[in-house]
Amino acid sequence: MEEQKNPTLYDRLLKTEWSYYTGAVMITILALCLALFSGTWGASGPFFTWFGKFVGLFGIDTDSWAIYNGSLGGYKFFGNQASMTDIGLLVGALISCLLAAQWKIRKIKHWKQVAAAVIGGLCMGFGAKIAGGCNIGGLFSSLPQFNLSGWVFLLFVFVGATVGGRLLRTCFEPPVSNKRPNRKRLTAEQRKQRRMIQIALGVVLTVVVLIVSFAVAPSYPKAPGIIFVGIGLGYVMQRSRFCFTAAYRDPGLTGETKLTRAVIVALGLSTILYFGIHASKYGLDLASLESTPGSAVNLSLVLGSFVFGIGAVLAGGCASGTFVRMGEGYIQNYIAFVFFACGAALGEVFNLATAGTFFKAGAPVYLPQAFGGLMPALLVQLLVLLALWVLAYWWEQRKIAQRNAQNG
Amino acid sequence: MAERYLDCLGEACPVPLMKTQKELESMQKGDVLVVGIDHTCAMKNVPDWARSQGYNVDIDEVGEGEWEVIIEK
Repeated sequence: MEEQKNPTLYDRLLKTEWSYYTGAVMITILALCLALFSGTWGASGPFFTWFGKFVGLFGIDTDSWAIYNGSLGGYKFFGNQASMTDIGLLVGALISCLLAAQWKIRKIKHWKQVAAAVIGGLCMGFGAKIAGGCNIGGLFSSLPQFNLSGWVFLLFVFVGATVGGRLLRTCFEPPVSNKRPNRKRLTAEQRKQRRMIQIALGVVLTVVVLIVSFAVAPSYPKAPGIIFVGIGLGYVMQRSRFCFTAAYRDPGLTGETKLTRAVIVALGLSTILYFGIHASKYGLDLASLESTPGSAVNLSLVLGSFVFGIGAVLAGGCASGTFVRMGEGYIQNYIAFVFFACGAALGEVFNLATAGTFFKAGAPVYLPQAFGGLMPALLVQLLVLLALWVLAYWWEQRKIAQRNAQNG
Repeated sequence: MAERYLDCLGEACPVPLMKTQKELESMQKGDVLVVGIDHTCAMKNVPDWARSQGYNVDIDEVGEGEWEVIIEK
């Protein structure tokens, strides 16, 4: 065994990965800043718009299609919050990777990965569109706001991920190889040079982002703030290896629940912060609540979150995860990105076709209304999250003990 | 004291961890498994899992964004 190297100052500042809990707390704070400053964080929306814009480049009048219905004409990148945070996730992850000198093009190894990215991308796009949101908009920005839709999403995305995990294991896992690939051996000097190039590119990119942010500020006053939050989220997600999908994927597949517990903490912390916002907006007794907030709980949500769960596991990341991994240089996620956009357009076709049917029959459910006030809703929600955390911890300990017993 | 290499380069989570778990099942106590990884999440969750299982783990950064996780069962 090699001797443990002591981390240098550079390692500490820019390289060593942060804990999942650090990631959870920082993501929660950044998302709340975004919600207060501009609007709640969402990630899957732009895929649909970009699909229409891209097809439109070939002279096809997508704007007049029923699914777009003239919504593309007024679209401006710097006027659209989710577009900026999504690209921010990509650029933030890229900056984080470069500053740590860990960026590389992560190539596809086997055709099965291409198939998984295509099917996974389509499922995610379709699912997110008919569910009205992805891991971010449908879950992380919704559940802490006491919307029942967030809990329903969580339940069925978990069921979908279980099915997706089964598919991944049986159909899409690349074959095992025990052959060590031949790699070019670089001298210490060459390696140092390569590291310096990456770090320099990271610094240059950061400067470019700052210049762009301030250049667009006069026409879009909120753009710089939104871009900074997006970049921050990308940086934190990359540095802490945070992944929303892993939270409900790994317990069944590998028995790991470290990320599950971190996501639960993020949801709990967000719940407490949103409690404050809702209390000041609606009053503890909901006296100034006029209409029920949140999105509808219906069959479309159930089906969408289930399909989304399958897709996120196959594609190796949800909407936010896909952008982060694209920044890190994963070719597989670029494929998933393209098919996510196609799936989103198909999802909207489904939305139009099922409008007014039993698929869409349902109303939003705001838990404080059901529980008679914000305070009881807060307590119930935190207790359920605590119970889930304990359950996740117990599950991981059980899996560790089982493996140790097998090994005799 | 056998040493085995497991090539997980170019593979996304959770595949590297699933393969590592499976590979280790067929190995004896004291054997060493070297897992080649270039997925930034896997270079955290593979060592995390192996440590919680009580194995000795060492991570070697063999190139930019490329690691060898050395696990002694």
